Amino acid sequence: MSKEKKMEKDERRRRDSIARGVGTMIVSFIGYIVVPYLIQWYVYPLLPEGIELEGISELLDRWVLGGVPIMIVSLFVGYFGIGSRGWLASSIIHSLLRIGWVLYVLNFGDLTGIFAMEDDGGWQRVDVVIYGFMYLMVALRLLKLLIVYGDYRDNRSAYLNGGEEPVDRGKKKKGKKDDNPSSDGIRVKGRFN
Amino acid sequence: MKAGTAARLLNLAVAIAIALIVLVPAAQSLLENDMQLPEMGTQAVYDLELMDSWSLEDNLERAVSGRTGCTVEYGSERTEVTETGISALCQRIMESGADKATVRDPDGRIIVQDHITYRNDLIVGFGTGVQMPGLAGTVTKMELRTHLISPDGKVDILTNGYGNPNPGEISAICVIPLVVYNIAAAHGCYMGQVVSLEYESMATIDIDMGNKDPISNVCTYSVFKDGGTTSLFVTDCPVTWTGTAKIGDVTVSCTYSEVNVMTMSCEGSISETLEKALEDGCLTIDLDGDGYTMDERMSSSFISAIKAMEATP
Repeated sequence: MSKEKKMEKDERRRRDSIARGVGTMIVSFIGYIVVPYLIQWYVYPLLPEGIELEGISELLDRWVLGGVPIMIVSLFVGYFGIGSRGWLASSIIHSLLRIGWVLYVLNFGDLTGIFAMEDDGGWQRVDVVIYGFMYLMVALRLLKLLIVYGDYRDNRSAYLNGGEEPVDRGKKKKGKKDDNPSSDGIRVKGRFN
Repeated sequence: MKAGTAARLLNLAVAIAIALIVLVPAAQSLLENDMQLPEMGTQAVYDLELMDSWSLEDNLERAVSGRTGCTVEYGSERTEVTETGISALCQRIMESGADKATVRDPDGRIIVQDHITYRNDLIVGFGTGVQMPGLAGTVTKMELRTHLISPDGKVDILTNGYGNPNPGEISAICVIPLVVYNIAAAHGCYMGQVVSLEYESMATIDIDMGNKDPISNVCTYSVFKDGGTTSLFVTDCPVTWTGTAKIGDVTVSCTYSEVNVMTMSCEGSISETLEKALEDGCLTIDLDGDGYTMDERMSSSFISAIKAMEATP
Protein backbone atom coordinates (compact mmCIF):
# COMPACT_ATOMS: atom_id res chain seq x y z
CA MET A 1 0.00 0.00 0.00
CA SER A 2 1.41 3.38 -0.98
CA LYS A 3 2.02 6.00 1.66
CA GLU A 4 -0.69 8.28 0.21
CA LYS A 5 -3.26 5.51 0.28
CA LYS A 6 -2.34 4.61 3.83
CA MET A 7 -2.62 8.24 4.91
CA GLU A 8 -5.97 8.47 3.16
CA LYS A 9 -7.16 5.37 4.94
CA ASP A 10 -5.94 6.68 8.29
CA GLU A 11 -7.72 9.96 7.64
CA ARG A 12 -10.95 8.13 6.86
CA ARG A 13 -10.58 6.09 10.02
CA ARG A 14 -10.32 9.30 12.05
CA ARG A 15 -13.68 10.53 10.82
CA ASP A 16 -16.96 9.52 12.45
CA SER A 17 -18.91 7.17 10.22
CA ILE A 18 -22.33 5.59 10.67
CA ALA A 19 -21.63 3.11 7.86
CA ARG A 20 -18.45 1.92 9.56
CA GLY A 21 -20.30 1.63 12.89
CA VAL A 22 -23.02 -0.50 11.32
CA GLY A 23 -20.38 -2.58 9.51
CA THR A 24 -18.51 -3.24 12.76
CA MET A 25 -21.76 -4.19 14.44
CA ILE A 26 -22.63 -6.61 11.62
CA VAL A 27 -19.22 -8.29 11.99
CA SER A 28 -19.86 -8.61 15.76
CA PHE A 29 -23.36 -9.93 15.05
CA ILE A 30 -21.89 -12.66 12.86
CA GLY A 31 -19.21 -13.57 15.41
CA TYR A 32 -21.34 -13.50 18.54
CA ILE A 33 -24.82 -14.46 17.33
CA VAL A 34 -24.67 -16.19 13.93
CA VAL A 35 -21.66 -18.47 14.52
CA PRO A 36 -23.07 -20.17 17.67
CA TYR A 37 -26.40 -20.76 15.94
CA LEU A 38 -24.64 -22.14 12.86
CA ILE A 39 -22.80 -24.57 15.17
CA GLN A 40 -26.11 -25.66 16.70
CA TRP A 41 -27.83 -26.03 13.33
CA TYR A 42 -25.07 -27.63 11.26
CA VAL A 43 -22.60 -29.30 13.67
CA TYR A 44 -25.04 -30.86 16.18
CA PRO A 45 -26.74 -33.12 13.59
CA LEU A 46 -23.32 -34.46 12.55
CA LEU A 47 -22.50 -35.67 16.08
CA PRO A 48 -23.07 -39.35 16.89
CA GLU A 49 -26.09 -40.38 18.92
CA GLY A 50 -25.70 -40.62 22.67
CA ILE A 51 -23.65 -37.44 23.06
CA GLU A 52 -25.14 -35.19 25.72
CA LEU A 53 -25.00 -31.66 24.32
CA GLU A 54 -26.00 -29.89 27.52
CA GLY A 55 -22.48 -28.67 28.34
CA ILE A 56 -21.79 -27.39 24.83
CA SER A 57 -25.28 -25.86 24.53
CA GLU A 58 -24.80 -23.95 27.77
CA LEU A 59 -21.46 -22.67 26.46
CA LEU A 60 -23.07 -21.52 23.21
CA ASP A 61 -25.93 -19.85 25.11
CA ARG A 62 -23.37 -17.93 27.17
CA TRP A 63 -21.54 -17.08 23.93
CA VAL A 64 -24.68 -15.40 22.52
CA LEU A 65 -25.83 -13.78 25.77
CA GLY A 66 -22.39 -12.36 26.53
CA GLY A 67 -22.02 -11.24 22.91
CA VAL A 68 -25.08 -8.97 22.83
CA PRO A 69 -23.56 -6.06 24.86
CA ILE A 70 -20.30 -6.38 22.88
CA MET A 71 -22.27 -6.17 19.65
CA ILE A 72 -24.02 -2.99 20.81
CA VAL A 73 -20.79 -1.33 21.96
CA SER A 74 -19.05 -2.30 18.70
CA LEU A 75 -21.47 0.04 16.89
CA PHE A 76 -19.92 2.97 18.79
CA VAL A 77 -16.36 1.65 18.38
CA GLY A 78 -16.92 1.60 14.64
CA TYR A 79 -18.80 4.88 14.48
CA PHE A 80 -16.36 7.12 16.33
CA GLY A 81 -13.15 8.17 14.60
CA ILE A 82 -9.88 7.01 16.17
CA GLY A 83 -8.58 9.80 18.35
CA SER A 84 -11.96 10.90 19.65
CA ARG A 85 -12.83 10.50 23.28
CA GLY A 86 -15.96 8.64 22.23
CA TRP A 87 -13.79 6.07 20.45
CA LEU A 88 -11.47 5.79 23.47
CA ALA A 89 -14.36 5.30 25.90
CA SER A 90 -16.22 2.81 23.69
CA SER A 91 -13.03 0.88 22.89
CA ILE A 92 -12.14 0.57 26.58
CA ILE A 93 -15.68 -0.61 27.38
CA HIS A 94 -15.48 -2.98 24.38
CA SER A 95 -12.16 -4.47 25.59
CA LEU A 96 -13.46 -4.89 29.14
CA LEU A 97 -16.64 -6.51 27.85
CA ARG A 98 -14.58 -8.93 25.78
CA ILE A 99 -12.58 -9.89 28.89
CA GLY A 100 -15.90 -10.47 30.66
CA TRP A 101 -17.16 -12.43 27.65
CA VAL A 102 -14.17 -14.81 27.68
CA LEU A 103 -14.62 -15.37 31.43
CA TYR A 104 -18.38 -15.85 31.08
CA VAL A 105 -18.28 -18.14 28.03
CA LEU A 106 -15.61 -20.36 29.59
CA ASN A 107 -17.59 -20.34 32.87
CA PHE A 108 -14.64 -18.69 34.66
CA GLY A 109 -12.45 -21.65 33.68
CA ASP A 110 -14.70 -24.40 35.01
CA LEU A 111 -15.97 -26.48 32.08
CA THR A 112 -17.11 -29.45 34.12
CA GLY A 113 -19.18 -31.83 32.02
CA ILE A 114 -18.37 -30.04 28.75
CA PHE A 115 -18.63 -33.38 26.97
CA ALA A 116 -20.65 -36.38 28.04
CA MET A 117 -21.78 -39.49 26.26
CA GLU A 118 -23.80 -42.38 27.59
CA ASP A 119 -25.46 -45.35 25.97
CA ASP A 120 -26.26 -48.95 26.86
CA GLY A 121 -22.63 -49.94 26.38
CA GLY A 122 -20.92 -47.42 28.62
CA TRP A 123 -20.23 -43.81 29.46
CA GLN A 124 -17.68 -41.10 28.77
CA ARG A 125 -17.47 -37.74 30.44
CA VAL A 126 -14.87 -35.01 30.10
CA ASP A 127 -14.35 -32.24 32.67
CA VAL A 128 -11.98 -29.42 31.82
CA VAL A 129 -10.73 -26.84 34.33
CA ILE A 130 -8.54 -24.09 32.90
CA TYR A 131 -8.10 -21.49 35.64
CA GLY A 132 -4.41 -20.96 34.77
CA PHE A 133 -5.10 -20.39 31.08
CA MET A 134 -7.94 -18.02 32.03
CA TYR A 135 -5.56 -15.79 34.01
CA LEU A 136 -3.15 -15.68 31.05
CA MET A 137 -5.93 -14.85 28.60
CA VAL A 138 -7.27 -12.08 30.85
CA ALA A 139 -3.74 -10.68 31.27
CA LEU A 140 -3.28 -10.61 27.48
CA ARG A 141 -6.65 -8.96 26.97
CA LEU A 142 -5.83 -6.33 29.61
CA LEU A 143 -2.64 -5.56 27.72
CA LYS A 144 -4.77 -4.79 24.67
CA LEU A 145 -6.04 -1.74 26.57
CA LEU A 146 -2.56 -0.30 26.05
CA ILE A 147 -3.01 -0.67 22.29
CA VAL A 148 -6.33 1.18 22.51
CA TYR A 149 -4.75 4.01 24.45
CA GLY A 150 -1.70 4.05 22.15
CA ASP A 151 -3.91 4.35 19.06
CA TYR A 152 -5.89 7.11 20.74
CA ARG A 153 -2.74 9.05 21.57
CA ASP A 154 -1.24 8.59 18.12
CA ASN A 155 -4.37 9.84 16.39
CA ARG A 156 -5.57 12.43 18.85
CA SER A 157 -3.95 15.54 17.36
CA ALA A 158 -4.76 14.46 13.80
CA TYR A 159 -8.36 13.85 14.81
CA LEU A 160 -8.58 17.31 16.34
CA ASN A 161 -7.12 18.63 13.13
CA GLY A 162 -10.11 17.33 11.20
CA GLY A 163 -8.57 13.98 10.35
CA GLU A 164 -5.36 15.23 8.76
CA GLU A 165 -1.93 14.94 10.34
CA PRO A 166 -0.82 18.36 11.67
CA VAL A 167 1.88 19.63 9.25
CA ASP A 168 3.93 21.44 11.91
CA ARG A 169 4.07 18.49 14.27
CA GLY A 170 7.78 17.88 13.85
CA LYS A 171 8.69 21.53 14.36
CA LYS A 172 7.01 21.81 17.72
CA LYS A 173 9.47 22.89 20.42
CA LYS A 174 9.65 21.26 23.77
CA GLY A 175 7.72 23.16 26.40
CA LYS A 176 6.15 25.47 23.87
CA LYS A 177 2.42 25.46 23.54
CA ASP A 178 1.05 24.19 20.23
CA ASP A 179 0.11 26.97 17.83
CA ASN A 180 -2.79 25.00 16.53
CA PRO A 181 -5.78 26.21 18.53
CA SER A 182 -7.59 22.95 17.96
CA SER A 183 -4.94 21.02 19.89
CA ASP A 184 -6.31 22.46 23.10
CA GLY A 185 -9.02 19.96 22.45
CA ILE A 186 -11.86 22.26 23.21
CA ARG A 187 -13.97 22.79 20.16
CA VAL A 188 -13.63 21.53 16.62
CA LYS A 189 -16.21 21.92 13.87
CA GLY A 190 -18.65 23.32 16.36
CA ARG A 191 -18.67 20.40 18.81
CA PHE A 192 -16.75 19.35 21.87
CA ASN A 193 -14.32 16.45 21.59
CA MET B 1 7.98 4.91 17.63
CA LYS B 2 4.27 5.46 17.83
CA ALA B 3 2.58 4.59 21.11
CA GLY B 4 0.18 2.16 19.37
CA THR B 5 3.07 0.34 17.69
CA ALA B 6 4.96 0.10 20.99
CA ALA B 7 1.86 -1.30 22.71
CA ARG B 8 1.39 -3.85 19.90
CA LEU B 9 5.03 -4.94 20.18
CA LEU B 10 4.68 -5.34 23.95
CA ASN B 11 1.50 -7.36 23.43
CA LEU B 12 3.22 -9.57 20.89
CA ALA B 13 6.23 -10.11 23.16
CA VAL B 14 3.99 -11.13 26.06
CA ALA B 15 1.96 -13.45 23.79
CA ILE B 16 5.17 -15.11 22.53
CA ALA B 17 6.45 -15.45 26.11
CA ILE B 18 3.21 -17.12 27.19
CA ALA B 19 3.27 -19.43 24.17
CA LEU B 20 6.85 -20.40 25.01
CA ILE B 21 6.01 -21.09 28.65
CA VAL B 22 3.09 -23.27 27.57
CA LEU B 23 4.68 -25.07 24.62
CA VAL B 24 8.37 -25.40 25.55
CA PRO B 25 7.95 -28.38 27.92
CA ALA B 26 6.08 -30.42 25.30
CA ALA B 27 8.48 -29.41 22.49
CA GLN B 28 11.56 -30.10 24.64
CA SER B 29 10.26 -33.54 25.58
CA LEU B 30 9.61 -34.40 21.92
CA LEU B 31 13.11 -33.27 20.94
CA GLU B 32 14.63 -35.30 23.77
CA ASN B 33 12.67 -38.29 22.49
CA ASP B 34 14.04 -37.82 18.93
CA MET B 35 10.58 -36.59 17.84
CA GLN B 36 9.17 -40.06 18.57
CA LEU B 37 5.77 -40.43 20.19
CA PRO B 38 6.08 -41.26 23.90
CA GLU B 39 6.30 -44.95 24.79
CA MET B 40 3.42 -46.41 26.77
CA GLY B 41 4.38 -48.08 30.03
CA THR B 42 5.59 -47.39 33.50
CA GLN B 43 8.98 -47.78 35.16
CA ALA B 44 9.46 -50.97 37.17
CA VAL B 45 9.56 -49.15 40.50
CA TYR B 46 7.26 -51.08 42.83
CA ASP B 47 5.48 -49.63 45.85
CA LEU B 48 5.90 -52.62 48.15
CA GLU B 49 3.30 -51.35 50.63
CA LEU B 50 0.67 -52.11 47.97
CA MET B 51 1.99 -55.60 47.13
CA ASP B 52 2.35 -59.03 48.61
CA SER B 53 5.06 -61.47 47.51
CA TRP B 54 2.80 -63.10 44.85
CA SER B 55 1.97 -59.77 43.33
CA LEU B 56 5.66 -58.79 43.39
CA GLU B 57 6.60 -62.10 41.76
CA ASP B 58 4.05 -61.59 38.97
CA ASN B 59 5.38 -58.10 38.20
CA LEU B 60 9.03 -59.08 38.48
CA GLU B 61 8.54 -62.04 36.13
CA ARG B 62 6.93 -59.84 33.49
CA ALA B 63 9.63 -57.17 33.90
CA VAL B 64 12.61 -59.50 33.34
CA SER B 65 10.88 -61.81 30.86
CA GLY B 66 13.28 -62.55 27.96
CA ARG B 67 16.20 -60.68 29.58
CA THR B 68 19.23 -61.83 31.49
CA GLY B 69 21.43 -59.96 33.94
CA CYS B 70 18.65 -57.77 35.34
CA THR B 71 18.97 -56.60 38.94
CA VAL B 72 16.49 -55.56 41.59
CA GLU B 73 17.25 -52.91 44.20
CA TYR B 74 15.39 -52.83 47.50
CA GLY B 75 16.50 -50.89 50.55
CA SER B 76 20.29 -50.98 50.47
CA GLU B 77 20.37 -54.41 48.74
CA ARG B 78 20.98 -55.13 45.07
CA THR B 79 20.43 -58.66 43.73
CA GLU B 80 20.55 -60.22 40.27
CA VAL B 81 17.22 -61.66 39.16
CA THR B 82 17.31 -65.22 37.83
CA GLU B 83 14.20 -66.92 36.49
CA THR B 84 14.52 -69.87 38.83
CA GLY B 85 14.95 -67.92 42.05
CA ILE B 86 12.26 -65.23 41.65
CA SER B 87 9.87 -66.70 44.21
CA ALA B 88 12.47 -66.88 46.98
CA LEU B 89 13.83 -63.46 46.04
CA CYS B 90 10.36 -61.93 46.32
CA GLN B 91 9.92 -63.44 49.79
CA ARG B 92 13.26 -61.91 50.82
CA ILE B 93 12.34 -58.52 49.40
CA MET B 94 9.00 -58.46 51.28
CA GLU B 95 10.65 -59.57 54.51
CA SER B 96 13.33 -56.87 54.19
CA GLY B 97 10.72 -54.21 55.02
CA ALA B 98 11.84 -51.99 52.12
CA ASP B 99 9.28 -49.45 50.80
CA LYS B 100 10.25 -49.72 47.15
CA ALA B 101 11.90 -52.15 44.73
CA THR B 102 13.44 -51.02 41.44
CA VAL B 103 14.23 -53.36 38.55
CA ARG B 104 17.14 -52.44 36.24
CA ASP B 105 18.40 -53.94 33.00
CA PRO B 106 22.08 -55.08 32.67
CA ASP B 107 23.02 -51.51 31.59
CA GLY B 108 21.62 -50.10 34.82
CA ARG B 109 18.55 -48.48 33.22
CA ILE B 110 15.19 -48.85 34.96
CA ILE B 111 13.07 -51.34 33.00
CA VAL B 112 9.79 -50.05 31.53
CA GLN B 113 6.85 -52.45 31.60
CA ASP B 114 3.40 -51.87 30.16
CA HIS B 115 1.67 -52.02 33.54
CA ILE B 116 2.20 -53.01 37.18
CA THR B 117 -0.40 -54.94 39.15
CA TYR B 118 -0.90 -54.34 42.87
CA ARG B 119 -2.50 -56.79 45.23
CA ASN B 120 -2.29 -57.53 48.93
CA ASP B 121 -4.80 -58.38 51.66
CA LEU B 122 -6.18 -54.84 51.61
CA ILE B 123 -6.24 -53.65 48.02
CA VAL B 124 -6.18 -54.57 44.36
CA GLY B 125 -4.98 -52.20 41.66
CA PHE B 126 -2.68 -51.40 38.81
CA GLY B 127 -0.24 -48.76 37.64
CA THR B 128 0.38 -47.52 34.13
CA GLY B 129 1.73 -44.48 32.34
CA VAL B 130 3.57 -42.87 29.46
CA GLN B 131 7.33 -42.37 29.20
CA MET B 132 7.92 -38.62 28.90
CA PRO B 133 11.52 -37.54 29.38
CA GLY B 134 12.24 -33.84 29.86
CA LEU B 135 10.14 -30.96 31.09
CA ALA B 136 6.71 -32.23 29.99
CA GLY B 137 7.05 -35.19 32.36
CA THR B 138 7.90 -32.80 35.18
CA VAL B 139 5.10 -30.30 34.62
CA THR B 140 2.37 -32.86 33.87
CA LYS B 141 0.66 -34.64 36.72
CA MET B 142 -1.53 -37.66 36.26
CA GLU B 143 -3.94 -39.41 38.59
CA LEU B 144 -5.94 -42.56 38.04
CA ARG B 145 -9.09 -43.42 39.95
CA THR B 146 -11.65 -46.16 39.69
CA HIS B 147 -15.29 -45.15 39.36
CA LEU B 148 -17.86 -47.64 40.64
CA ILE B 149 -21.47 -46.83 39.76
CA SER B 150 -24.55 -48.92 40.44
CA PRO B 151 -27.25 -49.18 37.75
CA ASP B 152 -29.80 -47.48 40.06
CA GLY B 153 -27.39 -44.63 40.77
CA LYS B 154 -27.48 -45.22 44.55
CA VAL B 155 -23.79 -46.10 44.67
CA ASP B 156 -21.19 -43.77 43.17
CA ILE B 157 -17.74 -44.51 44.56
CA LEU B 158 -14.58 -42.81 43.32
CA THR B 159 -11.39 -44.34 44.70
CA ASN B 160 -8.29 -42.49 45.91
CA GLY B 161 -5.94 -41.14 43.28
CA TYR B 162 -2.18 -41.73 43.37
CA GLY B 163 0.16 -39.69 41.23
CA ASN B 164 3.40 -41.54 40.55
CA PRO B 165 6.46 -39.43 41.35
CA ASN B 166 8.86 -41.33 39.04
CA PRO B 167 10.90 -38.74 37.09
CA GLY B 168 10.78 -38.98 33.29
CA GLU B 169 7.28 -40.37 33.04
CA ILE B 170 3.66 -39.45 33.47
CA SER B 171 2.14 -42.31 35.39
CA ALA B 172 -0.29 -43.19 38.12
CA ILE B 173 -1.47 -46.00 40.35
CA CYS B 174 -5.11 -46.95 40.73
CA VAL B 175 -6.08 -48.88 43.85
CA ILE B 176 -9.40 -50.29 45.14
CA PRO B 177 -9.76 -51.59 48.69
CA LEU B 178 -11.03 -55.19 48.57
CA VAL B 179 -13.90 -54.42 50.96
CA VAL B 180 -15.11 -51.62 48.68
CA TYR B 181 -14.72 -53.82 45.61
CA ASN B 182 -16.95 -56.53 47.12
CA ILE B 183 -19.58 -54.03 48.27
CA ALA B 184 -19.66 -52.51 44.76
CA ALA B 185 -19.94 -56.00 43.25
CA ALA B 186 -22.90 -56.76 45.54
CA HIS B 187 -24.65 -53.64 44.25
CA GLY B 188 -24.06 -54.80 40.65
CA CYS B 189 -21.83 -51.77 40.02
CA TYR B 190 -20.21 -50.98 36.71
CA MET B 191 -16.53 -50.11 36.78
CA GLY B 192 -14.85 -47.24 34.98
CA GLN B 193 -11.60 -45.31 35.14
CA VAL B 194 -11.09 -41.61 35.72
CA VAL B 195 -7.87 -40.22 34.25
CA SER B 196 -6.90 -36.76 35.53
CA LEU B 197 -4.17 -34.85 33.75
CA GLU B 198 -2.85 -31.52 34.97
CA TYR B 199 -0.51 -29.48 32.76
CA GLU B 200 1.70 -26.80 34.31
CA SER B 201 -0.94 -26.16 37.01
CA MET B 202 -2.86 -24.28 34.31
CA ALA B 203 -5.31 -26.81 32.99
CA THR B 204 -6.81 -30.02 34.31
CA ILE B 205 -8.66 -32.54 32.19
CA ASP B 206 -10.63 -35.37 33.81
CA ILE B 207 -11.77 -38.16 31.52
CA ASP B 208 -14.26 -40.52 33.11
CA MET B 209 -15.08 -43.59 31.05
CA GLY B 210 -16.32 -47.08 31.60
CA ASN B 211 -18.50 -49.82 30.26
CA LYS B 212 -21.76 -51.06 31.66
CA ASP B 213 -20.71 -54.64 32.37
CA PRO B 214 -21.28 -55.39 36.06
CA ILE B 215 -18.21 -56.34 38.12
CA SER B 216 -20.05 -59.53 39.06
CA ASN B 217 -23.29 -61.09 37.85
CA VAL B 218 -23.54 -63.56 40.74
CA CYS B 219 -22.59 -61.51 43.80
CA THR B 220 -25.49 -60.84 46.22
CA TYR B 221 -25.88 -59.49 49.73
CA SER B 222 -28.08 -59.91 52.78
CA VAL B 223 -28.33 -58.08 56.09
CA PHE B 224 -29.21 -59.81 59.37
CA LYS B 225 -29.90 -58.35 62.80
CA ASP B 226 -29.38 -60.68 65.73
CA GLY B 227 -30.07 -58.94 69.02
CA GLY B 228 -27.90 -55.86 68.89
CA THR B 229 -25.50 -57.23 66.27
CA THR B 230 -25.84 -56.40 62.59
CA SER B 231 -24.19 -58.63 60.01
CA LEU B 232 -23.86 -57.95 56.32
CA PHE B 233 -23.05 -60.95 54.12
CA VAL B 234 -21.73 -60.50 50.59
CA THR B 235 -22.07 -63.88 48.91
CA ASP B 236 -20.03 -64.96 45.86
CA CYS B 237 -17.79 -61.96 46.33
CA PRO B 238 -15.10 -61.56 43.65
CA VAL B 239 -12.10 -60.91 45.95
CA THR B 240 -11.05 -62.41 49.27
CA TRP B 241 -8.21 -62.22 51.76
CA THR B 242 -6.98 -64.01 54.83
CA GLY B 243 -7.27 -62.54 58.32
CA THR B 244 -9.78 -60.20 59.90
CA ALA B 245 -9.83 -56.54 58.95
CA LYS B 246 -11.23 -53.75 61.09
CA ILE B 247 -12.80 -50.48 60.04
CA GLY B 248 -13.30 -48.74 63.35
CA ASP B 249 -15.45 -51.17 65.35
CA VAL B 250 -16.68 -52.99 62.25
CA THR B 251 -15.13 -56.41 61.70
CA VAL B 252 -14.64 -57.57 58.11
CA SER B 253 -13.58 -61.09 57.18
CA CYS B 254 -13.83 -63.59 54.36
CA THR B 255 -14.79 -67.26 54.56
CA TYR B 256 -15.27 -70.00 52.00
CA SER B 257 -18.37 -72.14 52.17
CA GLU B 258 -19.06 -73.44 48.64
CA VAL B 259 -18.70 -69.82 47.56
CA ASN B 260 -16.67 -66.89 48.89
CA VAL B 261 -18.50 -64.87 51.52
CA MET B 262 -17.44 -61.53 52.98
CA THR B 263 -18.94 -60.67 56.34
CA MET B 264 -19.13 -57.22 57.94
CA SER B 265 -20.46 -57.13 61.48
CA CYS B 266 -20.66 -54.90 64.52
CA GLU B 267 -22.85 -53.93 67.43
CA GLY B 268 -25.66 -51.66 66.18
CA SER B 269 -25.94 -50.28 62.70
CA ILE B 270 -22.89 -50.84 60.45
CA SER B 271 -23.21 -47.49 58.67
CA GLU B 272 -23.55 -45.60 61.95
CA THR B 273 -20.53 -47.43 63.39
CA LEU B 274 -18.56 -46.52 60.26
CA GLU B 275 -19.60 -42.89 60.65
CA LYS B 276 -18.25 -42.96 64.19
CA ALA B 277 -14.97 -44.38 62.87
CA LEU B 278 -14.38 -41.40 60.56
CA GLU B 279 -11.20 -39.46 61.31
CA ASP B 280 -11.08 -36.11 59.50
CA GLY B 281 -13.77 -37.57 57.22
CA CYS B 282 -11.62 -40.59 56.32
CA LEU B 283 -12.01 -44.30 57.05
CA THR B 284 -9.02 -46.57 57.67
CA ILE B 285 -9.03 -50.31 57.08
CA ASP B 286 -6.63 -52.13 59.41
CA LEU B 287 -5.37 -55.65 58.93
CA ASP B 288 -2.54 -57.22 60.91
CA GLY B 289 -0.78 -53.91 61.42
CA ASP B 290 -1.17 -52.77 57.81
CA GLY B 291 -3.60 -50.00 57.01
CA TYR B 292 -5.26 -48.33 54.06
CA THR B 293 -6.97 -44.96 54.39
CA MET B 294 -9.77 -43.97 52.05
CA ASP B 295 -10.07 -40.27 51.22
CA GLU B 296 -13.10 -38.23 52.33
CA ARG B 297 -15.13 -38.69 49.17
CA MET B 298 -14.51 -42.40 49.00
CA SER B 299 -15.30 -42.85 52.70
CA SER B 300 -18.63 -41.03 52.49
CA SER B 301 -19.70 -42.84 49.31
CA PHE B 302 -18.72 -46.19 50.86
CA ILE B 303 -20.87 -45.43 53.91
CA SER B 304 -23.74 -44.44 51.59
CA ALA B 305 -23.43 -47.80 49.82
CA ILE B 306 -23.65 -49.63 53.18
CA LYS B 307 -26.67 -47.48 54.17
CA ALA B 308 -28.41 -48.48 50.94
CA MET B 309 -27.82 -52.14 51.82
CA GLU B 310 -29.13 -51.72 55.37
CA ALA B 311 -32.21 -49.94 54.06
CA THR B 312 -33.08 -52.87 51.79
CA PRO B 313 -35.97 -54.84 53.34
